[in-house]
Amino acid sequence: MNSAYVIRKVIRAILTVWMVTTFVFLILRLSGDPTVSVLGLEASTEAVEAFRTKWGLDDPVYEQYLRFLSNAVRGDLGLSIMEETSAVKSVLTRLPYTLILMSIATLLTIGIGISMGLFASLYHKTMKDHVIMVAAVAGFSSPTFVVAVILVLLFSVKLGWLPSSGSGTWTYYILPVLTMTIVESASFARFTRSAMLEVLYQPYIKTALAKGLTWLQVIRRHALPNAAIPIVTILGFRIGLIIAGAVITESIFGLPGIGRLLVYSVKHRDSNVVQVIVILISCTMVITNLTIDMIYGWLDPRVSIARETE
Amino acid sequence: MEVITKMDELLIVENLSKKFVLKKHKMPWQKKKYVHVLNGIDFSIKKGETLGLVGESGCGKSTTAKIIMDIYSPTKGSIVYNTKNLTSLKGKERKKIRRNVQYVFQDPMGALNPRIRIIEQIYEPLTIHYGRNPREYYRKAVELLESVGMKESHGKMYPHQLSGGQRQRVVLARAMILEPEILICDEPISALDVSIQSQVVNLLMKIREERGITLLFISHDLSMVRHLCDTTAVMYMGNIVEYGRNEVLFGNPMHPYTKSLINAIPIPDPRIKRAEVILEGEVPSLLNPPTGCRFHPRCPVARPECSVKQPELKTLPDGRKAACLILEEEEDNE
Amino acid sequence: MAANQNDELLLEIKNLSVGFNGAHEGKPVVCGVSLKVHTGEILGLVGESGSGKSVTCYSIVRLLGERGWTEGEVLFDNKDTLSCPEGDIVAIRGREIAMIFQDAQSFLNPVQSVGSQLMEALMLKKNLKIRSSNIFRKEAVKLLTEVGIPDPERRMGEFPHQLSGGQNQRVMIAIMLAGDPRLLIADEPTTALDVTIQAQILRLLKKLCKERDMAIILVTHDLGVIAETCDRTVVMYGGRVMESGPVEDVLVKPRHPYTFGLLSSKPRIDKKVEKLITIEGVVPAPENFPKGCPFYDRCINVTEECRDISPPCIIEGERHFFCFNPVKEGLIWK
Repeated sequence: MNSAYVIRKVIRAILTVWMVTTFVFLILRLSGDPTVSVLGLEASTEAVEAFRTKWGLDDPVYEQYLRFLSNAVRGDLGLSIMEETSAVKSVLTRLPYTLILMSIATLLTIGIGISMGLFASLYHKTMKDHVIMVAAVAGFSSPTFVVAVILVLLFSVKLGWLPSSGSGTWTYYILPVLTMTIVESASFARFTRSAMLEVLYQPYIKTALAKGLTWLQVIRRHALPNAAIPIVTILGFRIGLIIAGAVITESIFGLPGIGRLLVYSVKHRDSNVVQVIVILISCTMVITNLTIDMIYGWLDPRVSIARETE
Repeated sequence: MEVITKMDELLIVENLSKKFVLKKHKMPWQKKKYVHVLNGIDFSIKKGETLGLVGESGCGKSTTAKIIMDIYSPTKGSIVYNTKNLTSLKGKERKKIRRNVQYVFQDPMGALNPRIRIIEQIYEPLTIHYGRNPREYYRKAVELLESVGMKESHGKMYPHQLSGGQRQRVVLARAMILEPEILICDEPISALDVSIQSQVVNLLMKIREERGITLLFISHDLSMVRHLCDTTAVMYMGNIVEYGRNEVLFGNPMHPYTKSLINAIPIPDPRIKRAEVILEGEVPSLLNPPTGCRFHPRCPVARPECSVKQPELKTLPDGRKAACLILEEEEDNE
Repeated sequence: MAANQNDELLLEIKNLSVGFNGAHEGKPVVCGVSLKVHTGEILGLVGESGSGKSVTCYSIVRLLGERGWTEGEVLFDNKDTLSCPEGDIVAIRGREIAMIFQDAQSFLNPVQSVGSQLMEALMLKKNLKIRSSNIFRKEAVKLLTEVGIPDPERRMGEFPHQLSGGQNQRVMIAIMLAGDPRLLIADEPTTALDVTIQAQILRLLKKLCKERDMAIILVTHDLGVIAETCDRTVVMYGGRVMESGPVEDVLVKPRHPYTFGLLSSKPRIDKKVEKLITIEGVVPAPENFPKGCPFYDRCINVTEECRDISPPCIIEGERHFFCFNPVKEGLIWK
């Protein structure tokens, strides 16, 4: 991999973060302000004006934007209008909940999804394959809130085993994790299966068998390394969503995570908080993608070592 | 530059060169690298003649075909068709020329639209160039379909229902419906089964006899080129190395590459034992072509001057042209 | 011809039939094929697409996939490779019987280096656990040298996409030689290569056959390749054997009309042929194979019984063929 490749990627990454942030900023500013949310509908005109001056909401959009940029570059991302603490602090207090939920769910998703997909591909066109695929389609076709509600009905209402919402001990995480895992591992399984099938029908698998390798050896040494390439790509995407992916689940289960905070802040136009979250999400995505690009080059020599002719 | 055309030369290619930019991840300030695929080739086809263009991978014969077909534009040089310089023509003029220059490609399945019936595809060119008239065109198309040895009932089918050889015959029929003057064939039989290839080649010969059409036949199959063509040009790494009438060129090849190439082609008669003179090595990368004569690293009779000076295509006493410093020297010595 | 050819039988295929469940209506693509391979000989298996030649080879080492079914026997070392236990066939593959394929680059793992794939094959031979591979580096480099790869040390760390077609094929040959096989099956190894590279690879195969006392089944559609490389040949069409025998007999005086037609429909590089005969019609699909001779609808000697009755086996000296109306002296194909 040469330096030009890396430099281009890094520049693109920075540009991406900047563009996303600017876009969100503009949309939020142009769609209203938090005055009503904080002061209520009955507030007096003076109160409204005072509020707006205090938060600089009177100034033209570009001025607000430049102010935001100059502050941001210096590390000051503003105060949360709703909570009157630093926006960053607001976000950081929610971070642990999201991270716990998403890391466990992602690990489970990868583990279950990949093994199911592998299994289905090796028993291609048999009953086992069909059963897994039907389950997978059911899984990723169901919207998250449907799965969540079904689980709540079953485990909280009917059986009373698990709490239906809120946070506290680890038991509060079980249903949310389960919800996310069911939906995500289904699509992962399907994807893994396709990736494996593509590879298993390639000519070089015949060569590997012709060498005298057993099926197990062929899968381990020839099929998996090639199937890993597309799987890693989608894995990167999944991990990149580690902050942003739980919005619906957190909202339904009342987990005070970043997703829920995002919804709340957008609703009330708490732009500084939204901005911080957006920067956090885009940075995560961008860094993950960069890392995946690097790993990709290591996994697939055709990408990193260019061919001389054509 | 003045192009002197003899009245009977239908297509003249002069000093045709083509280079492609290498698109690797580069910063804007880094210098561009080029691949020189064609290095100034010259050839011409007389009316009614068949010229074969042969060579192995990387020789540039396909690129030549694509430039004539207007898929690529040349970096340098000109293509003159019937005294008109093709590279400078645009729009309507170019379209008029297109009627006279038709093409046949390697993959007959790719050349046909899988969703349109055969008979409609055969007369489609008429619609494009002359407007709609389906009833009359249908008749003409059936005529052509039968002339390539197929039946009217085939016309109602779709491409996937026909065999490879039949598809290629359909492509030929479609090419002929505009009654072109010249037919450019780029590897027209390579994708076909061995026992079918002669069907298509014999058909080409029949068309040639009946209509006096001019042919440019591009192929890597030298035996077929020997059989079908009148004149042949042998290409290597973007240059023509030998060029002459078939009896002369195949009967007595002079350029070292032509000799090695012909010698490498196996003969289906086990009684004939030839001296095993096998060309070593591989075609070097076009990114880093050898200096001087591009063939010199593999040439069995190369001399020091061959790596310095690039030989030009010079005419030898028997009428053929060859690009070889050694042959030039021998010529001079006589 | 091979100097060490003797009459010891190495492999015998007895009445092999092969089909694929779910394809061609379950009908067989190979029907009742029998042939023999002797130690140290190069046997040419010639036929066009649809002849079943590749499928026959895949079935020898049981590489047909789950949907393939077989009938008959393939005897090697007193074992029937079609019905022996899984462990036996895995032990035979790569070690006793090796196989190389067409278009080597597709048949090599794109994400593993050449050296690593080569050393994997070496380790299998020694039956050791595939762990630290560097022990076999020296042997791997030796193999690369044996197959004529220049600068073998550097090649070890390179990947298939960095090598040319000819080099990849040599790498594949090296990989398959690692197990010291007694029989090498080469499925159209040179079809995708330039003719000068083909000559190099064929010369390599001949050399390996002699030096290693290794028999080769060379599958091809090119009769010239058969004439120059093989000792004996088997001609297949439509899933059956048409004719078989020493190359001097079959290619010089073909007795089966198909062989005759094939020879006469191809042009020659060493002389100009007046007319190429055309074998009308197309290769039949397996679901349309007749009970009798699959060539019946294209054969000029066809008679009533050809379609419904399996032609008799006629033995003439060292050759045999299956035909009701074999080629006689002075046959003219119209």
